[in-house]
Amino acid sequence: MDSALWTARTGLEAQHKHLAIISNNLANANTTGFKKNRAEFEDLVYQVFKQPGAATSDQTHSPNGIVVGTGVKLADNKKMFTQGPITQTNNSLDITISGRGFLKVEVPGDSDLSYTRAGSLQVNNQGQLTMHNGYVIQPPITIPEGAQNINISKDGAVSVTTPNSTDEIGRIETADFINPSGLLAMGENLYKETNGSGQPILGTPGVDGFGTLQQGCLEGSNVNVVEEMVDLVEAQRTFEMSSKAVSAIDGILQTLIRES
Amino acid sequence: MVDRALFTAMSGEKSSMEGMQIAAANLANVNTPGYRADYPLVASHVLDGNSAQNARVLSYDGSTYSDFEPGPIGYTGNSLDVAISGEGFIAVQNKDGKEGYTRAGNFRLNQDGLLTSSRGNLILGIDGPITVPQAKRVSINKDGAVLALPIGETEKDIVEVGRLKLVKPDVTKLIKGEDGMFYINGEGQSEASDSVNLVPEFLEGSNIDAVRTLVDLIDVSRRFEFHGKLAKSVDDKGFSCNSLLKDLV
Repeated sequence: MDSALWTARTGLEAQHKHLAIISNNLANANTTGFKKNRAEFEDLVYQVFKQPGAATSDQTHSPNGIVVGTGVKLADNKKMFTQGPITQTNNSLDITISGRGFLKVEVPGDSDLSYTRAGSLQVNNQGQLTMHNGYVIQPPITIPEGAQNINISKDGAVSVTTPNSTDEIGRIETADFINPSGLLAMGENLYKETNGSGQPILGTPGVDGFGTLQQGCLEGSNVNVVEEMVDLVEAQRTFEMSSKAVSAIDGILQTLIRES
Repeated sequence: MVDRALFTAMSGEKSSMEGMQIAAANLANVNTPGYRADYPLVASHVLDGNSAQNARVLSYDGSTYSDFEPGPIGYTGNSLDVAISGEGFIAVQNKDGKEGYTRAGNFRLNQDGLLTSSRGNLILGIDGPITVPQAKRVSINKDGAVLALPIGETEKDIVEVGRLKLVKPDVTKLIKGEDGMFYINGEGQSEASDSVNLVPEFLEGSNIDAVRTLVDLIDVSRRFEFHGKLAKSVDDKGFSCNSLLKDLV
């Protein structure tokens, strides 16, 4: 039950978790609409052996005390919602939200809405606009049969060209949150509302600070591979330093056992 | 004659030794799917509480308890693998017919078509053990339904052959049996729960944190050596004491 050993162990465990977070970011460096996680650490509670500022005599106080820390822990792992790089695909069903906002999606078996930034849309067998995995975009927009051209404007108006005419058949609505980092990541490029994210604010793309929709483009992952590699090296070195502390403490204990 | 401090030291050594055994068992199971780590409980026991100076406080190992923290889950792609995300267990029938609970989701089919765990124990569905007919493809969906595509049928005729019994018992009432599965203390079974999140084609690893266990091993081995040193020291004093007495007589 050596306190130095326990403190060093927290360092090892924290960097181990950091590596898991970096690995997830790197694995998703190519995932459309992926938002990277950033690990943040905080120091653990301190043990006060001598109170700073305690009175040493009637007139004087000690300027500092003896307060020993107990290690580190992973405090936060928040998703950074910075814009990912936008690539041109020229596919009429690919859209990107340039700025704030999420597409609303209905997941089968779930009465609550889910949200996504992955705009690689497809059309299902009923003509509805869906995400790449078949979940229907809300409110549902149905492309009629015989549509030759689908046009999605910056503010979400979907119009379709048929041999007879060009009609507006619906509007893609986006939702924004006061704190997007508070959304719960569900996997499959989906997010769900939580108490931390705030209620969804519905709006029209391009109006009142909502991001615009750009057709024919896809938003890539906002993972910066260079930054992640540097973080990886840092995590590894910090792990090694804590592990050096563990060996040093082990050495001290061995000396104590041998020499006493 | 040796000072009774030797027995105090010995109780400490025994506890440390048991701690090492538990740490070794945990490390050995770092790769076992669904394994839950065990931790020792050590309590102190005061001997001879009548004397004003409590010099005889022994330590004894109460028991072990299991850590029910979820382990890491990883994608395997095997259609018969499932993992539970968060709380919950899968109900399994052991060889004596008793219902046990496990987190190890690496299932297989035995020669009679029954869905079994990797050890051969029958996986329980809400209506009992699940039999899968001869099928081109078997899969499990996230609600626990076991789906089979019978030979000769097309995609549209996938049939549900059973539904996994997923439970969420009170973990304070679970004890680990000899076969590694958990049983409700005393008798009894848990009701099926529909709030267990199943993730198909994933497998949950053991919840041993290798980093923490290795550092614990260092901690425990040094502790064991301390006790050994103490025992030796007491022994030496007894020896000196005896030689003094020998000279007097």
